[in-house]
Amino acid sequence: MVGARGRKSIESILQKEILPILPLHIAMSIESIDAKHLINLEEIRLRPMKPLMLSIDNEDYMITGDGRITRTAHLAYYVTKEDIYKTFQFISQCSVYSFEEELKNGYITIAGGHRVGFSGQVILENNDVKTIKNISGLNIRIAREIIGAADKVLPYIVDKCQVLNTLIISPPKAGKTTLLRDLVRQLSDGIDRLGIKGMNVGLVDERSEIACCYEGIPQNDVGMRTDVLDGCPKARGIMMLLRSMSPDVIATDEIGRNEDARAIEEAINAGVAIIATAHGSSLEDIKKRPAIRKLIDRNFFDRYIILSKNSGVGNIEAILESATGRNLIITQGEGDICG
Amino acid sequence: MWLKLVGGILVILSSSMIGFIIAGSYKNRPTTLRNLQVALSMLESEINYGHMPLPQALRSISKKCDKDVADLFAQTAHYLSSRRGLTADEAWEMSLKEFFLNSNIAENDYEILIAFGKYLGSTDKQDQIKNIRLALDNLRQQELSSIHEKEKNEKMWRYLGVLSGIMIVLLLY
Repeated sequence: MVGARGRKSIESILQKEILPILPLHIAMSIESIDAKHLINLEEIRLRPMKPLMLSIDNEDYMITGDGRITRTAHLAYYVTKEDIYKTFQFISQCSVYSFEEELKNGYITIAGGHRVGFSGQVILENNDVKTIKNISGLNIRIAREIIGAADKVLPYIVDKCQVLNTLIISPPKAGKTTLLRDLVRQLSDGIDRLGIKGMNVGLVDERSEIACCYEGIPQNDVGMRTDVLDGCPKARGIMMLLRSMSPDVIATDEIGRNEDARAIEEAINAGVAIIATAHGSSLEDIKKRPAIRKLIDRNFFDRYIILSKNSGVGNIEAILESATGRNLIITQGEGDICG
Repeated sequence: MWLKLVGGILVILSSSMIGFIIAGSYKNRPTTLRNLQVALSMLESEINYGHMPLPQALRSISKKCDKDVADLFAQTAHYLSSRRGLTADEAWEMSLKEFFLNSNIAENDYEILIAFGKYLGSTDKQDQIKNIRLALDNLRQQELSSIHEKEKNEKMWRYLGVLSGIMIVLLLY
């Protein structure tokens, strides 16, 4: 399912969104790499006095100053402190002061929805991270929305034009956010194929990962009837949406705390469908967390979608019906759901 | 006879003109310094309350502030958003150099502004505000001394222009 319709080409992502935040000479050497090597570019890492690294398909590569990919460290281009300083300036649009909140979290979302994480010297004030100074490591994570990632799943989570409460369970990097984003988009736009009309979706995007808002505007397509609460704590966000935006569906990422569970309970009792994700590799795995366990034991969710990394990013291992525990993906084919 | 008269008038006119232009530079410097201070105060509030990223902040200031100094801010914003690989201090320095050539500020004023630019955008809010306040203080000092110089020099250069013109004419007769 990866590489489905509508994926932005890596050249245009690099040109428009990534290269402008890099110092000129680094941008030029990345520019001169043959684009076919970069199709699955995931990360660009800068560390002072260390080789410039690209992570492609989960493998590390170094690049030389003139833009050749190498695996020999002494041929590679070594990133300088100046490079890091400049990149940091460009990321913040030369306005470090306007990113203080993001600095505390350790990452900035840039135009295009890409995430730049940084490490450095953490300054504490009242036991709280005040800021990070002497930025020493930067990790530019290329965001790739995959339009159509939810095609396979959708028939299983909609019943008689009603969205079922769904929990997506997945280990890191297996594609849960990508799946959630595409679910939100399709439900919000409506799906003719399944006869589903578009519905109002409220999205609580605490870590700016789903819609990837940049200056308040979603950088990823999350559908035309989606209201995004960007950077808002999940529990608070769910309650805010419930009261003010009258959503049909509320989607959120990575639940786990007690207050998240309470807010989800509230939403479900109010008749709003919930789609959420949780870190874990199986239903048993996430039951170890008390907050989620409560929700599972009381059957708040109708469907569990379990992703695994084994067969490539975004692969669905099982879709469980919570009432019976059956794995629907084997027993039921794609059929007319909204008959 | 007529030719001599016309020539004499031309000499007097041009030398007074030179005097007025030099006097003008003394006259305009305090105003420019005043306008720079107003613009920097605007920048302070954009950063302090608006949390506005620098390119937008500079652009909005260039629209609100006096035309006299607007170019400096508009041009910095332009460099920042259009050229790849320029940090804020480099962009500021480039546009400041152009501004310096076309305005009446003195070498000292220019140096204050260069020093101010070194930290532009690259630190947190508190630091930015400190940096702006420091530049404001320095510019205020410069403004005071420029007013003093204006009083001293403006009239003198005007008189000097006119009188030296007359003197040249008298000598030539």
